[in-house]
Amino acid sequence: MAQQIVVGLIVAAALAWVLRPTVMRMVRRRQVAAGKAPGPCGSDNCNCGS
Amino acid sequence: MNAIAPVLQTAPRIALVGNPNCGKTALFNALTGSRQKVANYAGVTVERKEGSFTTPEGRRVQVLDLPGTYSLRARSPDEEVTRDVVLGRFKGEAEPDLLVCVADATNLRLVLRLVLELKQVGRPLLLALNMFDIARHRGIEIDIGRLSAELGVPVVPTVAVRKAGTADLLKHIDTVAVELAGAASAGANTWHEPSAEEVRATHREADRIIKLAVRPPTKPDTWTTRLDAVLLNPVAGLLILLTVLFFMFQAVFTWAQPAMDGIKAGFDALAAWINGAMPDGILRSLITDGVIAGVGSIIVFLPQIVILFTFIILLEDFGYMPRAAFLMDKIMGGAGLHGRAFIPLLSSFACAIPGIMATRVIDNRRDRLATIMVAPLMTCSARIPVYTLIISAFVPDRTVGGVFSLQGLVMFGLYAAGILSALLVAFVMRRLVWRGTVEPFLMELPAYKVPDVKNLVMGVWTRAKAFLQRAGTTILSIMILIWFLSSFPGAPAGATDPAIDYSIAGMVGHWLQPLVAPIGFNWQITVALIPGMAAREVAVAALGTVYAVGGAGGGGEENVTALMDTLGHSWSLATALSLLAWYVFAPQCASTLGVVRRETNSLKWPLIMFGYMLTLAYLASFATYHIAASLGWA
Repeated sequence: MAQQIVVGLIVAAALAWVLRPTVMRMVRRRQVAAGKAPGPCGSDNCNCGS
Repeated sequence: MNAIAPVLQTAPRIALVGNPNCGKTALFNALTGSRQKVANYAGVTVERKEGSFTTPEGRRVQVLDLPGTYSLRARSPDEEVTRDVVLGRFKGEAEPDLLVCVADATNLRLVLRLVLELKQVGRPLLLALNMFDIARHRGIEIDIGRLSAELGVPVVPTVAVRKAGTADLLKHIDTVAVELAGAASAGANTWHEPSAEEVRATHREADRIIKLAVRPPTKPDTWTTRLDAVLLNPVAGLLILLTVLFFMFQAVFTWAQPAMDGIKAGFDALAAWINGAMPDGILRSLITDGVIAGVGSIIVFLPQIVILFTFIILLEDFGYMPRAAFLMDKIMGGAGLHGRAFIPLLSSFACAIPGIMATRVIDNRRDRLATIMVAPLMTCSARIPVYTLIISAFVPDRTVGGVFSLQGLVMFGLYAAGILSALLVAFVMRRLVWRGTVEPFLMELPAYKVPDVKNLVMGVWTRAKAFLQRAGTTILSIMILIWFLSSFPGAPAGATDPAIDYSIAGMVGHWLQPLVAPIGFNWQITVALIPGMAAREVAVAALGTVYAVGGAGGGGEENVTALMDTLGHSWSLATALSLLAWYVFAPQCASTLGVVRRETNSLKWPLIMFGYMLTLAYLASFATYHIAASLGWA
């Protein structure tokens, strides 16, 4: 049982690592939409160079 | 310091301008150290490097390293950024207070035309004569006072790589800053797009100043001239280039072997120790079949990657790469590619991503798009593990003619296939999609120089570290997931087939197998190709895990040697050749497609790239498999 819990945690951590970029992108998009973060370069809400 | 503070309301902003390869970035690094920030300019994918430093008088100065240019008559996106920032018309970018033009002291004629243009902008200007030591070593005598008087700007000799002359430069910056604070405004900008006659007049003026201030060496650099006489010869030069590339790939295979054997033995010992120390169970299976079999089968290729990059960096440092570009220009032009495409395509041997980003040096959009579209066909380092695994499993380890390794020859053939297919695709695209002539290729050939050991070590270390980081993070995570998908659900009671057949990965593989059966792939290859979409080399680790969990290796763990043995028994030669053909063309890299989308600012081009590469991969594999089968190799 202990082995199964350890393995489950490792697999969950691996899944989280693989999905991390996608989740981060989604979070970023929401922040940009809410005006809490600058948008990508060239977009209306970009603040590069400022 | 206190006297200065009131007159300077804000930190002065300096822009470093200069020709490409004049040591501008080295000076930027010498001035700013680690206080720098790299991003992109707004709206364009041109790298923006900004840093800061403090002058001896205590001024905090912001410095911007602008893309290299030969003139303010911009012809590429990079050069447009430089022109617009210098002229103070780049949206979102503050106007520079002072321009520091960095010049290669060994080739002043080229930069003086830019200096004369910059003078017309009306901003305070300093000329940093960089690589002054090399110029002196070559016997070039520069009269700094005369040069400064003729140009009407302060001139400071520097050796940026050794930080020599930077103290003098900082003093001048302080002086200019005081003058700036006292001045009402910068001078008037009289620069405009020059006519042909004005360009010729600028050339004449540059020549006049050179005659007055620069005395050429009494003994010219005969080494560069003599070497170029051979290395740039249309026949001998091309033969030497091919020999260099051939030798490089032979070395990748033969020199790396002892280190690879050492790494393999290390992973074998680790797996054996874990098998002995841990009781049988899913945790041991995860460690040996998932982590060691997966990640170990990738790390073993580190020596080959180190050797390949050692060669590439040595050739770059020596000054051979621009010559190789010059030699290839005619061939590239025949395929409809611009001569400048050579460097991006060569970078793509390491990875298509920096290669695609390096296409920014190509002015013409059609030439640039053509290069972007074929860059992923060049054999990137992520293909090396796949090629090596299959070649080692199927090609006998013997020599041809008593000298050349047969495995090295096959590897060389795969690289050649990548290059030829890139040229062929570019040729077809230029004939069908982007008709028109290719713009002429102008490039400065730097003098040869002895490669810098520190630069070599840093460059190789950076690549090796990136490879290991990837193996230890993304690949490790994916391998754990593959192990999970290959292990669960377990086989039902009384099942006779291998347990992996009942797993999720087994079910997916079996379900997709009819699609790839015509090209000779089994369901294990299908399972490995799915995570291989994230990065090509992941497929090798995935094969290691799938076969390890399947128990085909006969033991628990599946090290590289056992995996090669397993593949040699479970695949036919036709399947192996088909998979090699697949990997020459297949768009197995999501990051590359992402970069193409970013660089072209469109979803259309990555989709076209994915479509044409997938079609070519399927057709090549289909043809290879059926030809091999007809020869009795199935």
